[in-house]
Amino acid sequence: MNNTVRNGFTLTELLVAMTLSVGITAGGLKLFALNLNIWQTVEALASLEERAAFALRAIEDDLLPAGLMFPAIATAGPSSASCRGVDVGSWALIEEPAVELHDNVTQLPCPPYSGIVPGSDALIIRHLHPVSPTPVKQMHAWYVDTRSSQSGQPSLRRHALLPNGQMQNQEIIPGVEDMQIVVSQTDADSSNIQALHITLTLRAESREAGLPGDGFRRIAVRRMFYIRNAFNQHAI
Amino acid sequence: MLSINMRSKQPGSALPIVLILLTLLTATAVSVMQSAIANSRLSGSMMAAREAFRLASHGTASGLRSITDDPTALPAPDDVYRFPTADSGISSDLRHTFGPSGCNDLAPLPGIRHDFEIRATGAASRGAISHHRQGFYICSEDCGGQACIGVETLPHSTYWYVTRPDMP
Repeated sequence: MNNTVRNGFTLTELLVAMTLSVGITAGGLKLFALNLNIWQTVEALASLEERAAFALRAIEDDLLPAGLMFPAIATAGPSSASCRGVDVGSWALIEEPAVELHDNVTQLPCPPYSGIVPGSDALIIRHLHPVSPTPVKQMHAWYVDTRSSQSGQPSLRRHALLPNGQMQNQEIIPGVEDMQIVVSQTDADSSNIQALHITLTLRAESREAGLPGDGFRRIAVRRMFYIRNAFNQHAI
Repeated sequence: MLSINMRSKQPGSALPIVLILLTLLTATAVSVMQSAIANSRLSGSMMAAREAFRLASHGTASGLRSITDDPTALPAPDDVYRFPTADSGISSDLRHTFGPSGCNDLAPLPGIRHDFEIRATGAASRGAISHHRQGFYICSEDCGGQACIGVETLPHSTYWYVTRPDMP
C-alpha cells in the first residue's frame, strides 16, 4: 500500500494552470468580443452603403431621362390627376420644368403631411417613359418620410402619377433619413436645372452600443447628376 | 489482458462526434462560400451593367463628335450610316428621322432643318447591354437655287434616353 505511486498535480501546479487558463480564456473572450464588435460595425456599414447605392440608383434612373419629350410624337397619359381626392392636375400633368426642387414636402400639393422630416428637400421629376408605340407621361415627387414599412425607420418615398390619374405613394427604401439637394448648374436664364448634387443621409436599422447621441450609425452619400435632356435645343 | 477487457467495454464516441462536427463545419463553409459567390456575381453584374452604360454613352458622344467634324457623314432619308468604332463593345449608327422642315436658327437667312438620331449599343461582360438614343437636328441654309454661302448650324440636341432592344 505504501509503495503505491499516485501521479497527479500538486496544489501549486493546479493554481498556476487555472490562473493561466483563466487568463487565456479571458483574453480569448475579449478578442472575440472585439472581433464581434468590428464585424457588427462592418455589417452595419455595408448594409448602409448597400441601401445608399440602391436609393441613388433609383433616383438616377428617374433623373437620367428627366425632361425627355418628343415634340412630333403623340404621347399617352391621364387627362386629370388627383392625390387623395385633391385635384393636382395643374402640378402633375405639366411637362415643365423637368426638374423642380422644394425645401419641404409640405410645399407639394399632395396630402397628408404627417411624417414630415423638417428641412428635408423634395424633388419633382417629369419625363416621358419611352415605351412603344406611344410614350407615356411620368411624374414622380421624391421625398423623405419619418415612417416606413419597417417599424421606427424613416424612408425614401415618392408620389407617382399612375396611368389612371391617381397619385400613388410608393416606398422606395427604408433607412433614408434626410435628402438635401443643391443645384449645381442651370441654363442661361436660370429657368432649367442642368445639374444637381443630391446628399442622402441613411440611418442603421438598430442602435449600437458605444455610439454617441441616439446610438444609431449614420452615413451621408453625395452624388452629382447631369440632366441630359436639359441641354436640348442647345448646340452640342 | 486487463487493458484489452477495459478497451472492449468503451463505446468509442469520438469518431461520431468528430464526424458530426466536421459535417457541421463543412455545411457552414459551403454556405458561406455560396453566399460569397452570389455576392461576387451580383457586384460583377452591376459593374458590367455600368460598363455597358458607359460604352453606349461613349458611342453617342463619339458619334456626335464625328458629325461635328465631318458633316458629310449625315445620311440621306431612309439611309443608315454606321459609325466606324475603334473600341470593342460599342456599335453605333446614325439615321435620318424627320425633315426637311423650316428652321429659324439661321435667320435672317432661310434655313432647312433635318432631324437625326444616333443609336448606340454598349456591350460588356456577362451579357450586359445598354442601348442609348441621342436625337439632334442640324439647320442648313436654304439656297432655293440662288447664290448660297453654305452655312449650317452645329448639331442641336433634341432628346436622349435609354431604351430596351425591342423598341422600334
